[in-house]
Amino acid sequence: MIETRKTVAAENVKAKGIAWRSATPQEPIGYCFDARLMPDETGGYTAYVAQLRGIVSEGDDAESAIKNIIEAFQVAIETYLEEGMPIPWSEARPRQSDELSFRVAVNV
Amino acid sequence: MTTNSTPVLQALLLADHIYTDQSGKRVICGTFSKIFAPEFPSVFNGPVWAFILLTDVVGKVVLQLRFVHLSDNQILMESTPIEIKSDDPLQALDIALQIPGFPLPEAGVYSFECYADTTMIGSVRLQVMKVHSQESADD
Repeated sequence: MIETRKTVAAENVKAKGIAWRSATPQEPIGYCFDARLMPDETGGYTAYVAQLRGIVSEGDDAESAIKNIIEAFQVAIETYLEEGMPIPWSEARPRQSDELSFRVAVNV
Repeated sequence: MTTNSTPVLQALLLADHIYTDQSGKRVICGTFSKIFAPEFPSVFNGPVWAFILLTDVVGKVVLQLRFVHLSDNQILMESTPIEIKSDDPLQALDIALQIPGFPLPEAGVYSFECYADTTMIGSVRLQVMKVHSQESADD
């Protein structure tokens, strides 16, 4: 007999035991964005949010650039929410060939 | 030895139902990438299922699935963290996850995004369209 099963079920995962949380107007969960990293001449990175113009940060390495752009994004989003202003999302800028891109989820 | 590798997502599918037979095989029924609603805002009455297939899991990894509205990047729903573990990066691990009903504020493109720790390892798009009642009846 040939055993055709090639994968195994991940342990400890009970399909119906996973809880889900939904966002409400009073309690939003958060937002996702694409963090784009451009290498600069000093060996560091300039980071920006692909879907939100004007939010830029930098870091000495990729990890710190991502950390900094997340903080800048959080501050911007919280400001928009506190002021009751719509968040001016735009189409994601196309990624340039020398840029790194990371999808980031940020809770608010 | 410890390694910090990111799991590789081999498959992420949405389906009407996933059965697990006696041998442990997954039976994935009714995969889809489009849904229709007669009006918005709406709630898609679940449950639906997600099939996740991973390799390169080394040690413990925390998975999370998020449902995102791509027009405003808002996370509409997220699962609680799911801890998985494996000692063999070559081992393929499958997960069948039940998803309850989910909100649909408007027609457009949505995404179920799979995160391993803080890194998105893949996503599946869901196109949501408005359908008129006559078209609904024809379906």
